[in-house]
Amino acid sequence: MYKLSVKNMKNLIVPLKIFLIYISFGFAWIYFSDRALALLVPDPELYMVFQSYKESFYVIFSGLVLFALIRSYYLDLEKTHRKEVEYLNQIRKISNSMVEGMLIVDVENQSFLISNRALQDMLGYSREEILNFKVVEGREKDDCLKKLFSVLKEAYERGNIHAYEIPVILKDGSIVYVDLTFKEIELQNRNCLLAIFHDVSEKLLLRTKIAEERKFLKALLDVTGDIVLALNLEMEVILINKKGCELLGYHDYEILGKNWVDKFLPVRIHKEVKDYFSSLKGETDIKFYHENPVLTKSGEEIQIYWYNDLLRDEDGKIYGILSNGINITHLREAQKTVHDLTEYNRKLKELDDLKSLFIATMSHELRTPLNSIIGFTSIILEEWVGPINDEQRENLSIVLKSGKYLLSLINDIIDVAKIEAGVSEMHFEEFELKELIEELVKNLSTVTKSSGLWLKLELTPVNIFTEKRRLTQCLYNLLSNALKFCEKGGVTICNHIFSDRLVITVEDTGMGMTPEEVNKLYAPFTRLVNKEKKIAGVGLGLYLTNKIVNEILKGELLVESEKDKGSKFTIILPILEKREILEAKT
Amino acid sequence: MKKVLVIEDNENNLKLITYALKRSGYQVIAASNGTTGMELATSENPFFIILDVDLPDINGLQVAKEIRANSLCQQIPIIVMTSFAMRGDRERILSYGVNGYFDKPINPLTIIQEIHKLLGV
Repeated sequence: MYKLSVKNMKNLIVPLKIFLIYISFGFAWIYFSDRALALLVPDPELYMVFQSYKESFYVIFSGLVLFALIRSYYLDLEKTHRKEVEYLNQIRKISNSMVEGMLIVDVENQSFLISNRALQDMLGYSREEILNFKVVEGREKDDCLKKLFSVLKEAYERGNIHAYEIPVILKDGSIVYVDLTFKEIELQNRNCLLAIFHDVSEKLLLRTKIAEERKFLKALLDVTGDIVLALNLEMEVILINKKGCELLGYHDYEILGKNWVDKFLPVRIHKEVKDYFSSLKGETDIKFYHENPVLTKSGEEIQIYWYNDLLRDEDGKIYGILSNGINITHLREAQKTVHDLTEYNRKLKELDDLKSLFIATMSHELRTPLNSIIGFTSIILEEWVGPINDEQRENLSIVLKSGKYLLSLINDIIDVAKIEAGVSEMHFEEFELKELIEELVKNLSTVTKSSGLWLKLELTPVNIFTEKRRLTQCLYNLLSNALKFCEKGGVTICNHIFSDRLVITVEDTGMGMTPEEVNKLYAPFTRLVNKEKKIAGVGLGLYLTNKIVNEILKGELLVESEKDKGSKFTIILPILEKREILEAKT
Repeated sequence: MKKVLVIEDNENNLKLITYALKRSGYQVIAASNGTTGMELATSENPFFIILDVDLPDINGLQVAKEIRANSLCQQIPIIVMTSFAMRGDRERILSYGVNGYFDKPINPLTIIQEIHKLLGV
C-alpha cells in the first residue's frame, strides 16, 4: 500500500515523545502510587485489592495507551497517503486539461510519475507506456523515452529553468521541437521534476519559412537592375540592395546606418531634402517621383530618378521611406546631346534658309543684267536698231551664246537649290514623248552639225503624264552631255515600255567612265577630266538630272559605262494614270 | 495706236521691252513705281499692262491686286515679269488675277508673240 521510509518516520516523533512522557509517568506512578492509593482508598481491604492488581492495571493501561498511539499513527499515515493520492489525482486532472504537455519525472527512480494527455498525444505513447517506463540499459524499444529522460535529467542536474527548441523523438520516429520549462517539486516525499512541454515545431517551421522568404526577397532585391533604398525618418539607410552598392561604389556596411543626405547627396541639395524629410513627420503627401543627383565613392555625380513610397508600421505610423532608383545619368546626357543636336540642326536649317535666300537674291541680281545682255544682243543681231556687218554679228553671237550659257548655269544652280529646298514647282501634264524628243533633237542639231557626230532616234510614240518641263530638262542634259563627251561616233536615244514602266535610254560612243568615276557621277560639282578636250560646265548637270528623276519624276536613273567604249544612261519612269498623279498630289 | 503700260523700275529692262513693243506697233507708257503705275492704269486705259514684281514702293503683286479691285481698270490684262526664281510660285502669282507670267530674262524677239497668244489677240 504504502512504504515506510526515513521520511515517514518523522511522523512518529510526536507519538514517541508522548510515549516517553507516558513511561516517565509510569515510573512516577510506581513511585508515588502507594501513597496516592492510600490517600484515594482509605479502606485498607480495598487498598490491598488495588495493591495486588497495581502492576496488572499499569500493564493493561499502558498497553491501551500504546495501542491508541500506534493506531493514531497509522490513521495519520493513511490520511497523508490518501491526501497525496488525491493530490496526484488532482494534478492529473488539471494536467489533462492543459494544452501544453506535462511530465513529472521521478529523478531518483528514473521513472515517470505523471504525464498528461497533451504529452501523450504529442509523443504518441499511451499513459501506461509512459508510466511503466523505467530506464533499463540496452532496451531499444523505449529508446525515445530513454532519450527524453536523459534530456530532462540533464536539465535537472544543470538546474536550468528553461530549455529551448529541444528535439524530441516521437514514437513513430519523427521529431518535434519543444521549449521546456522545469520546476523541481517534492511529491510523495520524493524529489521530482515537473516539465512543461511547449511544442514549437510550427514556430520553427514558420521561422525557416520566413528565413527562406527573406533570402528570396534579398535575391529579388539584388537581381534588380535598379537601386532599392530604404531610409528611416532620421535619413539613415536601413536597406540598400546590391545594385545600389555597386552604383555608389561602397560596400553595404559602409552605407547601412549612415545618414543618406550627409554622405551621399551633394551639399547644394541638403537643405531641400532635409526639409522634405522633416515635413514627412507631419504626414504630408509624399513625392512619389523625384529626381536628384547622388555622389558615388569616386566623387562622381550620377543622376537618379526615384519612385517612392512611405514605410508604415502596423499602427500606420510612418517610419521611413522606400525608394526604387533608376540611373538616368546616360539618359540625361543623351537628352542633352539630343537638345544640342536639335539646336545645331536648327542653326543648320537657318543657314540653309539663308542659302536659299542668298540664291534667290543672287538669281535675281544675276538675271537682271543677263536680261539686258541677252535681250540687247538679240535685237542688235536682228538688226532692229540698224544693220551690222559680219564681224560684228560673229562677235555678238559669241556674247549671246556666252550669255545663254551663263543663264543655263544660273538656272541649274537655282534648280538644285529649289529641289533641295523642296519648293520646286510641279506642273504635271499629258503629252506625247516622241514629239517632245524630236523637238529637242532639232534644237541640238547645230551641235551635231558642227561636230560631225550622229544622233540616232529609235522611238515609239507613247503618251505620258508627267512634269514635261523637268523631263525635257533631264533629256536635254543627258543628250547634250553625251554629245559633249563624244569625239567620234554618236548618240542613240530610244524608248521602250515594260508593263507600267517607261524606259528611255541615251547611249553614246564617247570616252566612257571607270567604275570609280561612275561612283562619283551624281555628286555635285563632279567633272570628268579629259586631257585632250576641255569640256565646259561646273558639273551640276547629272547631279540635277538624278535629283529631278528621283524626286520630281519619281523614277530612277541608271548608268552603265565602260572606259573608252561609251556610256549608257537609262531613265525609268512609272507610267501613271492622270488620276493617280492628281491623287498623289493631293 | 494701242497703249501699253509698262510698270518697271529698271531702265534697261524698260528700254528692252519698249523696243519689242514699239516694233509690234504699240505706244509705251512707262511707270517707274507702283503708285504711278496704278494712276496711269486708270487714267490712260492701256491695252494691257506689263508689270514687274520688284518695284521700289509697292510689291508688283499688290499693284495687280489693286488694279483688279478698281472698277475703272479691272478689265485690263496684266502680264507679270519676274526674276524671283525661288519665290516664283506660278500658281501663287496667277492667284493675284494676272493674265500671264514670264520669267526674266525675256526673249525680246518672241515675247510680244507670246503675249498675244496668251491674250488671244
